[in-house]
Amino acid sequence: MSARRIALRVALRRVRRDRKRTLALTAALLVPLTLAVTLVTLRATSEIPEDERVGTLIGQSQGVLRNLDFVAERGAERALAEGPQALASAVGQDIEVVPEVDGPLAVSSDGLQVDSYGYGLQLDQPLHRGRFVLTDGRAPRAPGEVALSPSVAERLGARLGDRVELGEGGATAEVTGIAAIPTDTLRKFVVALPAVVAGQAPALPKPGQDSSMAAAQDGTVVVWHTPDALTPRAQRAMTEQGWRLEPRSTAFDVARDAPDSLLPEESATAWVIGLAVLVLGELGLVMGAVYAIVVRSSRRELALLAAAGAGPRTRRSVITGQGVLVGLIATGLALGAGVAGAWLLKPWAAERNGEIWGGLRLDAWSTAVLALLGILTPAIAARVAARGVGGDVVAALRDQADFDDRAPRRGQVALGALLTCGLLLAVAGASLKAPFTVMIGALSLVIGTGLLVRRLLPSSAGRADGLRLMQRIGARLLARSASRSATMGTVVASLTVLTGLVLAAMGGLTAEVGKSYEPASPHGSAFTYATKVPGPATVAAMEEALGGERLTAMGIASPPAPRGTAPDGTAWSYWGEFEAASPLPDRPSAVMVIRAADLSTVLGRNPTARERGILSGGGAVVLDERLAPGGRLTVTAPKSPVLDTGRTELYTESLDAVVAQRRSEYRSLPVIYVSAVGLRALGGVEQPNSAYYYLPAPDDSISSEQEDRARGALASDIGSGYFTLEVERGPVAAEVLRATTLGSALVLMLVAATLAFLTVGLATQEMRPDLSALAAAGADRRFRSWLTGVYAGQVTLLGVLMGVGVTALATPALLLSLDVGWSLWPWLGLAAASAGAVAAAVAAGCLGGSRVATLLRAAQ
Amino acid sequence: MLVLDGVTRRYRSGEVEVQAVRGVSLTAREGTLTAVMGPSGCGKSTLLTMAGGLQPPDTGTVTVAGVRIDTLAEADLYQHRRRHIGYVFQDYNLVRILSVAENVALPAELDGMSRRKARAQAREALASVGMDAYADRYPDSLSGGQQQRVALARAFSGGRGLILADEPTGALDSESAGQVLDSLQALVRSGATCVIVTHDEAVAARADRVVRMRDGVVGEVTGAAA
Repeated sequence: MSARRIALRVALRRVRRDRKRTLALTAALLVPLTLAVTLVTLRATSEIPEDERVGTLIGQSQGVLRNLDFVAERGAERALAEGPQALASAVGQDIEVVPEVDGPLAVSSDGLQVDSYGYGLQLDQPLHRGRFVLTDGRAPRAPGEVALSPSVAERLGARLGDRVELGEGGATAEVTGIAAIPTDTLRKFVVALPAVVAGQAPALPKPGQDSSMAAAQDGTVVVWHTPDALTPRAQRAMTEQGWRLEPRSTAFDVARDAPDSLLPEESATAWVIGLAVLVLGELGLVMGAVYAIVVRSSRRELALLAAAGAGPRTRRSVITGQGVLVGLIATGLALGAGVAGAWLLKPWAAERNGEIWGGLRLDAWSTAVLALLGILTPAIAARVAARGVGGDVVAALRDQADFDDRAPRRGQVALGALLTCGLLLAVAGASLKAPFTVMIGALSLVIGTGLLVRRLLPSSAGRADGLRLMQRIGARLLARSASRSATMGTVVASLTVLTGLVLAAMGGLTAEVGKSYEPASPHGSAFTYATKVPGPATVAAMEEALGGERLTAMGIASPPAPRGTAPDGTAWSYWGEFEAASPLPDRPSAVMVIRAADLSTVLGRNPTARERGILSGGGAVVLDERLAPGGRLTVTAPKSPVLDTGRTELYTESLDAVVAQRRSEYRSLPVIYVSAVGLRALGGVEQPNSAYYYLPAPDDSISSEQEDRARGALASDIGSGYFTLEVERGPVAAEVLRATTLGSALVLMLVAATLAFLTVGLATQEMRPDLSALAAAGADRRFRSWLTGVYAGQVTLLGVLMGVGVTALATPALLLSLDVGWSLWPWLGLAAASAGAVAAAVAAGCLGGSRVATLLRAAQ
Repeated sequence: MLVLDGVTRRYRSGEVEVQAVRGVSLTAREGTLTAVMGPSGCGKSTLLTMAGGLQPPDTGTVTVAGVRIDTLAEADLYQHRRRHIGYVFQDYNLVRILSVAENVALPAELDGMSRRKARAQAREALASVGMDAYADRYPDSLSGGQQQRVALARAFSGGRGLILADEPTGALDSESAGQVLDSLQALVRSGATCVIVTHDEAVAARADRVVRMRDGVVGEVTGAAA
């Protein structure tokens, strides 16, 4: 039987015999691999091919023809009827076209109304294939039929066969199907025949009203799809006649720019792979330490193999084989579990993303890379640990000391390569703004530092002479078991680096968010803007919900109403708003009307006599000196309600103004205030259909529940789409980041504590013969416990120091890659986590050491 | 120096209970070398571990230097052992990562003596067993006989009155064994009490008294204090 088969057989037996260890290693590998396979499979499945994406925009048509003036002059229904003939006469020949009419179309049922969008097309027309997916029922084929989107059907509680009302005209239709847009399942729309949607378009514009503007205002669109590409001659002819052609290629450009899926960019897969490399790299280091313990505990068994004739390569294969077997088992399970996980999560992920995905698609390359990583990680870890196999066979058979206390003669090249590679990756990551590259570089530095420490440790044995007995024994053990000490130290170092870099990145991001944040209003305050005025009862309910204080109401100052009628035929009650002539960037600079008694509330302090006087006297109080140079505020408002006519006539008024504050501080709080007297001076009116409410709460007294209650009161009265309500709580993102950072640090500390136990396992293994001898020499249990703790603490401290050093090197590169600044508190966090890890190791070591039954063995 | 009075020790081996030592009484006076002999499994090593305070008797008493050690608390027991009892094991039991001098100084350092003083004391002990030239070497670089002499030096360093040796020459060649026994006899002549467990008649021949055990009980006692 060949040596390799024997080695494999022994490896298999060990894997089976040490079930707990095998299960733990397999599980540790299985979790991240399964997650990674699930993510890359979901990513591949979510990728909607470009052609399909284009199909959701224009189906199978080769072009879309538009003529805004043609539609505006005739109205949608006439344009629909006359379009084909007009197109034929434009081109000079018959061309095949398929019409589509789209526009706002409310749909209601049983008193519930949904403002949705109407697509007027023949859904089962082959040219529209790909635009929609019928998830239930069939396409509407007659004027009295309609298909609803899932969100509309859910809102109305409508099912197949129910009747719904379309538009304002009372037309009803039977629901024949549920249709969804594959790339946007959340959109609210209905599908009916073109004539049905055209029939709901508003009446033709009144004489004198700009027709194209009116048509654009109500949003109804009539277009014609062409199944065949038009010849250049035909395109020229149509353009001359006022028609615009959007060829299929235009839709490709639109599709490319459209927001993408669950994992939005192709780089998402690279992120998953990068993260997997990092996690598996860390796992590999931990596995290396575990296999180092395996080598130590198998020493006698391997020596027996040697005595029976097995060469060094065969004996190393026994260890390497265990790693390969674990890798194969874990990877096989992970592939299966990962694909199964993707299959289970696909419906939820697609729904969450508002899309319809096809069948499960595997990302062959990424999955192959992950599989390779899964097999290689434990294999390499075991192979590296297997370098410790060998040495004095007789000493091993007698279980005598096997110190590796000489600096290795080879390995300088690997050391140099790892350190250089690490530095280069860190620099590259910083330049390319690739944080994962920096972290992989840091991992390389950690491994290189471990090799360096392995070389330096043996020479430290002599330097321990001056230490006290316990520390001396620990330091000597560290130096004389250099390989194993360096391995464990490297594991701890890698975790320290991960903790440090994550904390540094989080700290930098938190600081950036905090720096760039602009509060909407003073901290704690509530601010509401509504485009429908709530009733007094609702205002009272809001006040009660927000803690019982009176809300400060503000109105918007508008110019006097123009003559004539509004588009709905009624008389104008207001138009536009007065704004500062030199508006501040990103600040509302409309003129707000308040009661004189509320001036102290908006200022956040008692107003001065001058401020009170100016406000009462018809002037303005401004919260930014740039608005009122020389003590005069100039405001303007458009005279005409008609927009975009090239030249707008403006009202211009000037008021005395007092500057109450040098600079405006808040994003949403108004900066110009007048009283009723000032409004009269402007000759203006208060807008009757908008409302501002403001409530300062400097003691942060408004809770999220109170905010929700206030929001609920407003929504019940005016509808949730007609207001915004904000309570200024500071940069929420920063709070989330801080919480995430704390969570990450805690998780990493737990892992560090687990590693501490691993260190203790190694420590008690290493020290067992010495603990016996110490007991024989009179060292009591307390001394022996502390000794194990001190050794475990020294190994952990070694790792922590290595880790902090590499973190200090890699952090600048990481912060550069993220474009964030430096922050102190992550370093404090790292120091605390490191101290915690060392303390945990000492404590675990003391506990472990006290349980080693050495005395009887010593006697025997 | 050493008084064992009616000591008993039982072991459980799976379902079976084995009585290793049954009601043994033994006294060893100062300045005597006592050899305990018997076939394998007769309880002689167990008797020695009870004498050395390494494990307590199930019944009976153990008195060393006038103190009953079978009732001492663990910390006090270890302290008493460090000060009064030197134990020599068959497999030496030297701390691998301490030098020869540090191994010999270990009990004194554990007892709180300063490192310098303990080292000085250790070197004296090493000199008396002819191992002072190896003071800075590590145990794994010494031969078996050399290690056993170091273990012996550790046992009596600091003037411990009671030396217990479990097969001290079992793994040694005749020359090394002779050297170890010479050292032991020198200690006895200086007033120490030595009890050796051995199955070697040649070793027993150099003892003042020979106690023979069989099946956990003392059979025959021959020699000066019989």
